[in-house]
Amino acid sequence: MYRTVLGACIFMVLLVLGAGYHPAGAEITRKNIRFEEYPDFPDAHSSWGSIGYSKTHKKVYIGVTNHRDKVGFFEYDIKRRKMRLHGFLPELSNLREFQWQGKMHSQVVEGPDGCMYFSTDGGETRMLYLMNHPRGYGGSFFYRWDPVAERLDNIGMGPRFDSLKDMMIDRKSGKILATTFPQVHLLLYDPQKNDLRDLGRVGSTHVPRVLFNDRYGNVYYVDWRQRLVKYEHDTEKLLFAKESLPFFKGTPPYSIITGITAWAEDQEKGMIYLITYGSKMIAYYPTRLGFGNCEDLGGIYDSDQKQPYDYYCPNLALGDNGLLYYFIGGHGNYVDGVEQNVLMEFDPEKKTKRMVLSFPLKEINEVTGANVKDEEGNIYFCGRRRDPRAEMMGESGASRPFMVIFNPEREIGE
Amino acid sequence: MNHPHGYQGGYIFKWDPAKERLTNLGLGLKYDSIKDIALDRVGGLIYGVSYPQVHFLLWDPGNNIFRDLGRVGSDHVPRCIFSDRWGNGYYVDWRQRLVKYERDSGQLLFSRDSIPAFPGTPAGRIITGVPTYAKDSENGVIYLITYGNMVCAFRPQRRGIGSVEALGATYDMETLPPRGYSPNSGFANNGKLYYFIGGHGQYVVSDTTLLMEFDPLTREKQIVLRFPVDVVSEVTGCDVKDDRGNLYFAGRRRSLQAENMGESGASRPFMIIFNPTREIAP
Amino acid sequence: MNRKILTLAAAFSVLAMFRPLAGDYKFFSPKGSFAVEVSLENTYRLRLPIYRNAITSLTCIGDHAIGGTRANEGLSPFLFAVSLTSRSLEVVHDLAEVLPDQRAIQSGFGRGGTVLYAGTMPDKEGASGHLIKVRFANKKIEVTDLGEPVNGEGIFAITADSRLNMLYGIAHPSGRFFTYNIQSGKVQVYDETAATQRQLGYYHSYALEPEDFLSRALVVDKSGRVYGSRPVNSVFRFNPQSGKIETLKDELPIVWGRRSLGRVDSWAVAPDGTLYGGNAGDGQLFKIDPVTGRLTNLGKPIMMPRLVGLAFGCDGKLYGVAGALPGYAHLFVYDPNDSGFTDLGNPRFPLYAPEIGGELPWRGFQIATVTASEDGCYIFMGEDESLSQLMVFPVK
Repeated sequence: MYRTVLGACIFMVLLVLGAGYHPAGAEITRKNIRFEEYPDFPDAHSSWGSIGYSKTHKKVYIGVTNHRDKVGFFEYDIKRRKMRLHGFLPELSNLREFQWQGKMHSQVVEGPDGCMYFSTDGGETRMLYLMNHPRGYGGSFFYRWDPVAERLDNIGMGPRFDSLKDMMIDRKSGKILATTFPQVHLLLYDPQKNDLRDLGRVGSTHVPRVLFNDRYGNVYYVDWRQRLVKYEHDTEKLLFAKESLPFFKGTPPYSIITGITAWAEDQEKGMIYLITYGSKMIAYYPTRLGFGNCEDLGGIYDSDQKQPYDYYCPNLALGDNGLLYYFIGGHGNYVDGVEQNVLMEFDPEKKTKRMVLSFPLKEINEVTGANVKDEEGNIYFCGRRRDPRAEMMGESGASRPFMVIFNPEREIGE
Repeated sequence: MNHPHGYQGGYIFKWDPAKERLTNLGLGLKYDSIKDIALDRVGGLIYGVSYPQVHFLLWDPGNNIFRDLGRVGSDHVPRCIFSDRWGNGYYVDWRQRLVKYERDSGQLLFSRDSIPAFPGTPAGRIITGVPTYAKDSENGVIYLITYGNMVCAFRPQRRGIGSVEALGATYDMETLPPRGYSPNSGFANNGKLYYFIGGHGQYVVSDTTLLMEFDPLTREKQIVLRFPVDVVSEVTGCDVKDDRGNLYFAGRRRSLQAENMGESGASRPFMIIFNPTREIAP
Repeated sequence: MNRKILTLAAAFSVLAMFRPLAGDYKFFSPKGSFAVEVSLENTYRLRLPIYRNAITSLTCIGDHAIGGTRANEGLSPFLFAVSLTSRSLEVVHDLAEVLPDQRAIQSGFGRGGTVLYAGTMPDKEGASGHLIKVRFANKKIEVTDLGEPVNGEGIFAITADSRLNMLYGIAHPSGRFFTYNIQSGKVQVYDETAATQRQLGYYHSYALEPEDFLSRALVVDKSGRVYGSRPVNSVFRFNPQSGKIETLKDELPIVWGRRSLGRVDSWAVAPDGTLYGGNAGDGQLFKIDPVTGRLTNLGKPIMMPRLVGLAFGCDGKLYGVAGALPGYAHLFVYDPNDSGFTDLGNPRFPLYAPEIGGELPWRGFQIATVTASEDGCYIFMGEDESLSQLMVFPVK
């Protein structure tokens, strides 16, 4: 009897201590997910993978746009659970009207100096054509946010008239690799020396949206054949993989040319997971020099209703439980013929996957952001929900943005 | 302009001497330069003028507000903007009339009369306006030298334009306006105005730059020093003085080695420190 | 001897000062050209005050150039007359004295004999612009209010056909075309030229406002048909006989991807009846054969957008101004019978300022209007600045 009571007590204590804790593979519910709204930006429309985590300062940074000419720079204080607007890029960096920026499309990346780096994007059709017209897009900027001084520095432009779709940092040197839109030039920028080098065009009709890096300071992109392009830190050279990243048979070439849409790193194992526009999950094992191995882990969603390459997934993160999580859906492309956005769980060891949650589009219609995770295992994404009130506010559909926080192992909901 | 080698436009910068940090406060007009600026030290506004379109510009960097107050000149852009103790900003229009941005009212005022000029001053010089100023802060006077080589005393006031008094030529010659070019001036602690004459091919003594002393009370002037152009060929900079009474100027000397290095003649730059009441040379 | 050499050297030095620095260009300063000081803030002389003087409508009657201006928000515009003989501003008329709460006369002038007609843009959004009759006689400008042709809309462009006693206009912001019978005062409004909701969405995505895409000018051909542009990038033609509007088969010339920018910026009618037009979007000159209705792209005179004004000189050549902010104006000439365009460059004319006792060199940067004297021997250009002047040059 005593032992039973003691056992029950121990069980109760464990239950209390572990409240909200889910072991790997346990059921994930709505309580594992929380949404954070962006304050002080009533005409906010969307965010585009423009999210990043500061390990130094335990904060998440997000760029949010009205999808026209106003980009708000937000900071989420994890400890205080507080989202705040630092300001809008034109005011923070003294831009004139003719220097309008439609979006932040790049990841927000922590540099070796503890500052956060990102770049801007024209973001609207007019940026493609108007150029030197008075209403034209003059070109995009690299930015550096100093979390200590709470100061934004404009650290210069990329090429005139082109956007910067994404950028990534050489973790060792602090140099920036970036890709331009629409001309798909890979840029190497050393902000310390104000040395901007155009490494040349590596794509064509579609600009792959994602660069990623590894622990050795290397930075990666893909060329028009979806072959990895590596800026090798040690040699400062550009290398091209001989083979394309894996793709399903029958994958349309326009999907191939669109390359990688999301990535996530397993820091312990030193490997990187990639999702392609052709809906493949790939494990990449980077090496200091040259290219490492690529392993085809299969598709990101299994269904008889659609081709395996036809799912849209511009987001990815690795949970502390060793499983990958990603949302499928967006830009009019949804699973099972239903207007829903689904949260998937993928076990890279077993190459198995399952849908863990489904959301109607008025809750989540698209999710972006890759590899943003804090030390407590919380994963952060940029979310959008369909919102007819936001119509006429910009291109790319009527929506409202918010931040998604997800922890597969703990309840974090309100 | 929009050519690949074109000029995108002039920027305003802020240098923080304490942090030794330069901050870009943004562009002015697309494609136009910013020829000069002046600070409103009361409210933090910045006044500027664009080149070649001669637009009077106003920045409020704290709020990232940029206002184009419109064109106030034409063929030549007067190179000098200045401000007074109340933070008002001054420039000249094409008739060499003072244009004032009045901080209190937020309005642009135009003087009805031109700053004095010698009869016969070519219109091409009038439109070039005022190239330099120097402040006598104690007495609330701002000394101006025009491109027509007239020294003037301007007494600003918080509201309205204030008065302008002609003090005479920068250099006494039989025929006025005198020759010469003085894009520089400094008001010394001894109550006298100092300026160099010479530059851009305009010398009163051949190939010689003169340092002049001008007494605003007696209106007397004298040559203080003479420099051959390979020592001093042109001097710019106005109203730069430290607490010890040292005046600072930007100097150029003619240097044939510098040929092909740029426009505006072959030269090398250096800084001039001048103190009329103390020896400062090593 | 030495003194002579020194004198010469000094003279060359002074001359060198006026030489354009390393310039491979010279300004357009033909003999006989001049600028008239129309605007000057705070003066005893007759001048227009600051922010109320952008010369957005301009025509010529006999010895006089007649101008209409645009003001900044909250301010009223003027009508003025400049004498070609005296080269001075002679008459100024504050529109607010007759018609308050209007901001601009930017429609251009329509002419019926010695009488001019114009339209106004209201100061407040949603208020109405008015048609006005302008009579200039005995050094006096008389303005008569003809009322609001389109309720709640301004008048963006206007032209007249004195043969039919008709005025034709474009309403702002809708872009609707309207006709006005001068005799009866009857107004008819046509929706066909207005931007549709879908087109407004299209323009919205290019951040373009009605000011950017509505037809800035209208013209009447020899047979009385009226031409203007309509969304998107099209040319319409109104036939007063049938009361019908047709859209020409040929669109305005485009630069790929920039079709949204197309609209008529200016018109001029050649002696042979050919219509010449300027496309604001990318500054192309084009011509329309009124018989066939075919439009021919004649190309771009300069690198910049806008082609704000066109006028035929007595030499049979077409003079125009291309380029605007953020760049600035180039004057060009096009010879329909010869080798095409010549970029005459940025105009610099002498401006007489009485108190200065000399002629100030005056450069025109932003120019809004171009017209020719009745005999075509002079071309007039109206500046578009905070303090705008009139620039005039003779046609040789």
